[in-house]
Amino acid sequence: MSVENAPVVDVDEAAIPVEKKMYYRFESNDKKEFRVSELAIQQSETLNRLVEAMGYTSEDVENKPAIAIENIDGKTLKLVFQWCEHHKGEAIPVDDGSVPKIVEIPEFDAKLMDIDNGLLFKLIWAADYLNIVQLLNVSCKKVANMAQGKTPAQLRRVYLLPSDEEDEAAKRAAQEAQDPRAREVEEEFEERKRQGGNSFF
Amino acid sequence: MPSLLEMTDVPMTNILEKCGFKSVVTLRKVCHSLRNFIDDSCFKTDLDNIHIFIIRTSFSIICHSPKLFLTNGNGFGKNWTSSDLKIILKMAQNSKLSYFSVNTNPDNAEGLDDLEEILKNQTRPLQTEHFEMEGSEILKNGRLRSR
Repeated sequence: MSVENAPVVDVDEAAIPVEKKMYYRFESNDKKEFRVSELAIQQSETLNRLVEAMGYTSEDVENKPAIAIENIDGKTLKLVFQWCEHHKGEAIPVDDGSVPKIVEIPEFDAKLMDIDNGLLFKLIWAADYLNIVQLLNVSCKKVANMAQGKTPAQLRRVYLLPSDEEDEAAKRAAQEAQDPRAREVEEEFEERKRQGGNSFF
Repeated sequence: MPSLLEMTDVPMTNILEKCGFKSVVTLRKVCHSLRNFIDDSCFKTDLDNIHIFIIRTSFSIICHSPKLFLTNGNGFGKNWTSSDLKIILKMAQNSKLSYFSVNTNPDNAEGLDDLEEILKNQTRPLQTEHFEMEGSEILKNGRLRSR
């Protein structure tokens, strides 16, 4: 994809100062390219250190290939960078050990996270990987809020978790797939049990 | 599609810390993997007050978070075994309580020994601002170490 038609993350026009700003180019694992401002990158400790270490000039950014983020897909990365652009320049919260950590979800974040659970979990994973503290806080808060006042069965559905029975069945299936003889032995054992004998062992 | 269990430890702990104590207790019941994770990991809860009533070998418990929640929705948890109590106190060891009280009836309730055992075996001593202990008769000295 050429630089000209790379999708640019929505940026609040009024927030851009007059002088030329540096935009870094990142590429997701499905080859989608994003241009992100230097200030927005500071929200992510991982990326910030990366670009600092690379020491790119504005020419390098245009001429060298985009920085690849190999384990995050374009859809998730778009949300991450939208969040970073919206919250650029904001102070990164430090863990002061106070509990409970009171996290309010701002309106922008709530709208951004109005997505299905699968994508939300991917977003959390990305926030953790890229070390974006506040994004991790709000997204975890959203997941935590989903658990309020629910029964275990409802939570299983919400969090896409298997029940113990399903879990065991899956484990057994995996084991059998590994060792087909195990099933035969089990069947033989059951058969002998039915016949009333316990001389199997 | 990724599920909650595929999350790495940092976000999982982060979520549990924000869940509030009541949800964590429910989450323990969801599946084995989640229960094991909750029991093994170290996270802070919003647990603020614990009141334990020992009646012979069973425990009744009232827990409060700053938001005031009650363990079983009706006010308190009744007829708990010492292993139930252990779970609650294990979770509480990472946070600072403002109130911890123990009430025994009768004073020589076996449950008191269980409680002593649990508190001794905690990895970290329980932190509380206020500690209160009440018995139906005169308490034996040093039965419970307030730490």
